[in-house]
Amino acid sequence: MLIGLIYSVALKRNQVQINELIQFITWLKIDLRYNKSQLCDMFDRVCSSSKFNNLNFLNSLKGNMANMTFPDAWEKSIIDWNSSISSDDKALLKSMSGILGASDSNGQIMALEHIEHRFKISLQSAIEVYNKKGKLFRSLGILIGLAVLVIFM
Amino acid sequence: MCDAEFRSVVKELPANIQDILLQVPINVRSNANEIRLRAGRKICICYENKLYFLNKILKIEEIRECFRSICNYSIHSHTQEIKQGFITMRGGHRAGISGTAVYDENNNITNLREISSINLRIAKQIHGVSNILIDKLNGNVGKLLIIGSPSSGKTTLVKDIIRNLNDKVISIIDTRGEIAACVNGVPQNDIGNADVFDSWNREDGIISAIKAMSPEIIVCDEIGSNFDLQAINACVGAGVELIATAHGGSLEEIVKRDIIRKILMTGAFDNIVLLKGKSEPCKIEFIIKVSDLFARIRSNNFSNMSFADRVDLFGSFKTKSGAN
Repeated sequence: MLIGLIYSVALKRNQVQINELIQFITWLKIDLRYNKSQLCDMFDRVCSSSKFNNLNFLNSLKGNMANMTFPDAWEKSIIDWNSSISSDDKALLKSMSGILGASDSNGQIMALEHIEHRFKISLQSAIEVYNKKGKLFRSLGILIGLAVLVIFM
Repeated sequence: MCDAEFRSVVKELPANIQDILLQVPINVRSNANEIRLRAGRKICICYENKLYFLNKILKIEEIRECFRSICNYSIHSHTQEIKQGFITMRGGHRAGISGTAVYDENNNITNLREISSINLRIAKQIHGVSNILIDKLNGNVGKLLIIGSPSSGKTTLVKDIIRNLNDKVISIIDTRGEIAACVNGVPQNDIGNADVFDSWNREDGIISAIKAMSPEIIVCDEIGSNFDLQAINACVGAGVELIATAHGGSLEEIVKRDIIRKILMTGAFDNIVLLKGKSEPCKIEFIIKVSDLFARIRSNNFSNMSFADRVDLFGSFKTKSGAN
């Protein structure tokens, strides 16, 4: 029963994390357009707020930035991030190391919009997968649990 | 010997370049004015009018990485500065950059690409460097224009004047972030109680300061554009005194610049100070009253004045021959 529940929760977590990534990219675009803050200030603000609690890599990013270049710090944070998102989505997120801070605001916003669009597609499929498989995993979990219970009785 | 300023500049560079620069002898580090990074050439440190070359030859990729690092990996925050060819760093240091200019269809520079050289100018705060100037002007340092060639110590002098005027309400229009060197809104340099308009252009900053902060004195760096003229007129109209700097190696150079002549005619400045130059930073060559300068121009006497001529305080002219 527990295994089915774990799989179902992982699917939900994937959906939540992608959704939060999209919100994070929207926030980045707004900050780039209106504040043009330095990346370290932007991430300081994100980390000190309660926004994006499911994006734990942002906390390790802050620490990594103190010791390495931004692209290296970003990539290491993503690699070390224990997330539910797919490897393709992780690679997409990793590719932001070459976008953030590397050009003027407009250039970055355009590139971020492309990434945001790809995450929106991922989110759509994550919702579909959850709707299809989430219920299935939970039901299977309950059935298997009950079967095991019957066997032991 | 203290190399704190050298270290604070080097800290902004990638780790591998930091390691190399921190191996430089302490006497060079302590007296360094500039660190020059050039693609395909050795790193060069300028100190006490001498050059110290390191064995490290920089690759173009390393220059690019230095550039990104100096921008704190946030090029978007520095686009205006990049267009002007410099970046202000933490601590008030300045990185001059050269590369290939990118123009738009209206012939305006939009970017610099293929950055090939970076000149890191180490900002220094010298307390008390303006004391002689303030004494000579009997404390009347408002309405002052400081003229000097690059690296002659104009900004250093201005910073110390601000510290010495702690009892006045001062607004600093810090266009290039060199005077106050604000990081996250906090001045890195000691600028007393002055209010800072960080990264504003001079025109907007001066007008905003007059409206918002009711200053007695406005301080700004490197005036010399048509836009400055309008803002300076606003300053004069509001009865606010102005302390400013301008590029120039001599009085002749200054009066040849049409815009500077117009600015002087606004009445914004009473006195002009000419600095000696790079070899003797912050040292005063001479002080001249603006009214005396105009009298000299009107009497057609100005063209005879050579660089070696000396003008004593408040307009008593001394020539090479010693005649007044």
